[in-house]
Amino acid sequence: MITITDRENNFIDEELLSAFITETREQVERLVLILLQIEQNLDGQAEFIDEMFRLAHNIKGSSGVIGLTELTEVMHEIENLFSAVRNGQYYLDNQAIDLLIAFTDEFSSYLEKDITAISFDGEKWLKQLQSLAQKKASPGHTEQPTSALVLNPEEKAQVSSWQQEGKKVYEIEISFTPEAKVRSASVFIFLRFIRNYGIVLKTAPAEETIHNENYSTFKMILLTEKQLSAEERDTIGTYPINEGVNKINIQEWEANKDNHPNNLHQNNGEHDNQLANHTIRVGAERIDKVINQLGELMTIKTNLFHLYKNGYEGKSTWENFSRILQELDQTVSKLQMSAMDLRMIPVRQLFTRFPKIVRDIAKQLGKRVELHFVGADTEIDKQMGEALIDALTHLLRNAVDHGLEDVAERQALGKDPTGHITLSARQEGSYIVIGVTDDGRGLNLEKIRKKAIANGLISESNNLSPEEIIRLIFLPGFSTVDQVSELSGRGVGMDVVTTNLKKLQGDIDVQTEPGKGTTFMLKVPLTLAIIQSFMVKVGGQIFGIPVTDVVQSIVIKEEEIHSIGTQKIYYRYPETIPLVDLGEYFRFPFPQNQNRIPVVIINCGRSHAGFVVEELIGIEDITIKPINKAMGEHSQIAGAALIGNGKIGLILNHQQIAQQALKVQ
Amino acid sequence: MARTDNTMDILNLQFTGSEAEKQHIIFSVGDEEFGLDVLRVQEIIRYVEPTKIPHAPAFVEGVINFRGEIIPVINLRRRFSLQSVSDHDFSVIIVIETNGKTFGLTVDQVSDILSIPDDKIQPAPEFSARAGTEYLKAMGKLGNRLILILDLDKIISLNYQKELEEAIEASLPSIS
Repeated sequence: MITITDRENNFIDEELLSAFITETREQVERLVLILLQIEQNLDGQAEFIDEMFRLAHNIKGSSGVIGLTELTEVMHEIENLFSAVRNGQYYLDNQAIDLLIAFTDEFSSYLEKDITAISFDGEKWLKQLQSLAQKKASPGHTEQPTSALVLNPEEKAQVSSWQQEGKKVYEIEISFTPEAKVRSASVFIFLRFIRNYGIVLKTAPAEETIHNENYSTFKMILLTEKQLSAEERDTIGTYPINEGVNKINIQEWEANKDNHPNNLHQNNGEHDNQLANHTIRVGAERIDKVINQLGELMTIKTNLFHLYKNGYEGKSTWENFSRILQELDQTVSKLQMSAMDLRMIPVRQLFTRFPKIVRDIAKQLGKRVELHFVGADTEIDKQMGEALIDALTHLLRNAVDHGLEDVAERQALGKDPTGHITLSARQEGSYIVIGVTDDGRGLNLEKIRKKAIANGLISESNNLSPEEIIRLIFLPGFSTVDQVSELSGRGVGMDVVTTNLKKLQGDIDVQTEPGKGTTFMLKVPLTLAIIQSFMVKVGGQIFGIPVTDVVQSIVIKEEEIHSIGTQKIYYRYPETIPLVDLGEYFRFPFPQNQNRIPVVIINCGRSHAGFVVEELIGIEDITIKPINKAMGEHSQIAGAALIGNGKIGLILNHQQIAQQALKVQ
Repeated sequence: MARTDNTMDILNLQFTGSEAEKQHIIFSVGDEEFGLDVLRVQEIIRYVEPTKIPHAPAFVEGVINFRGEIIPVINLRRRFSLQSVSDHDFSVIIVIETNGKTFGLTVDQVSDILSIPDDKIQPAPEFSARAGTEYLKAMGKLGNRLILILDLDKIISLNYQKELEEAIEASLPSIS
């Protein structure tokens, strides 16, 4: 494993570092976006403050983990600042926004550098941020912020019911000159005066914080019993409180005036959040590819149009037509590929979280482990990759906990005292194969067999091949560890991994050699959306079976089918394959030709089963769609796919069908 | 097909353009006229043969592709234990959305969109010999027309038939 040293002599894992950079870059970008938005409308800052605080907090946390002390300190100061804004003790003015944006600029360019070699100059930022924070107590230097008067729903209700009773609501705003001193005293005097006219519902800034002096305006909502006369308004507007007061403005409160823009703002914010969660980084060249192929499609469309306009000119028209169709077919397939490419990420992005997990477990168990990556640039559909994280975490934990021996044992065996685990990825056709390999003790077949007997999964007399014994570990309720450890072996382990994989139309395989180690191979489709399916016809309808579990398709004769009781079987050396006649089982009958009986042989648990069908169609790429659950779940159907002519092909949950059909018979 | 695209368009237009409140879409199954709140109706589409689902209850005719979504279709004739028809010239599938569930109802024919005033609506009788009455929410009277208003929850409930039989079973001693 590549490790680098930071300034405090802690080890930073390179993968962790790159994860930090990617993540932080995104967070800084989001922060800049928000700051720019606030710059447009300072009064809207309250809407964003929670998110800003969270971002600052996250960046601070991850900088701390990486050991970037200077950065952590600066982020801590920013976090404090945001916290003050959140508590209404501070208001971000243009100067503060400028400073923060300047900081994010430098931060962003710092992230592009070799951050392990160059330290971040936190000192100057700390000074500026601190002076910014102190300014709230020393007014007068710059433009003072104005506070927004935002009513909460309760207060809004109070105002509107007050208005409905025919009473009046006013908004009064006192603006101070920049030189104004002891504003709190002015406000205090004015509040005492104005309470002669009615009830003060709310002020901004809040009455309890007026001593901060950090406001250029003071606003309040006044509830009065009746309309104020012009005379009264004049008295209020000219109330002589202090020479620092620029003017006092009084107007009737319009409920909607405040409501509307605020709500709009909030919605925008939420919308942005959603977007942020679903964004994906895509290389520009990939987008160009899609655009180019769209261009090709346009050309084809034009060609088709011309062909149509020219009308039928004999055989050549058909030849041209067929040629254009061929082009169309190719271009659409290419376009499909490049569109899918937009969702692909290198598996490295998934792997980055694992070194820490492995290190933590190893530490806990007192083992020495190094984690290696192979083929980390292999790409995988983002959604698919994320769905695999739990399975991989489980396999890695198992590898450290059960697979690898401890240091003393390895030394006694003459092995490297440090155990090695390799996470590998490679593409095989439209599948990704991810491997977890350890150089530990290997699976103990005899122990697995005994455990399976003890758990009633098999009986003593079962004569299983080594492969069959290994596959026992994927069965529900199987766990070989006598002591249930905190880390793995909770009894739900491997079978959960297997179940999850099946949901992703994937599969798992194991190779093991005593004393040398074990490899678990996860095989999943490149993307969740499109799978390869073996299509068959039953009773005139089209059905699909995921290709991952199709072993073989054959055509046999009636005389090759034997019966054991009511169970029909097909004997293929050296195994006996139970058959399920899908037409009969589904009650979708179809005529059978005794000399040509099509059978699809599938994996079914540890063995094989054969589905007798009406017709074999072949492998197709299909997009699986869920079936609306209005009528509940159909356990035997995994989903549906649109096949030609808008028709629907049902994708079989073949394992379920085989198990149920064979149990019944 | 005897029915033209035009008719479908007019029907769909009528119900999108109509006042929503108390409006019912009226259709027939067998000899009875039924009503459904138009607010529940997403669209009326011409009958297409659904793709059958193995081992689904008999009244589930199958699934269809409705605007890219795969939705189940319930055949009301089968739901009411009436003889199936092979002639689908006038049959339509009414696409319903209720509680986030989308499904289709195959009916013999759609005839009208009618407003039924509240005072013309009365609760449904517990049991009756008429087809489909066990799935009713209420009945509406318009002149001499009797409109049976369906309870969608009962229609899609897989267990409802069983519950019903059990209820009848339980009430038998008092009847005899």
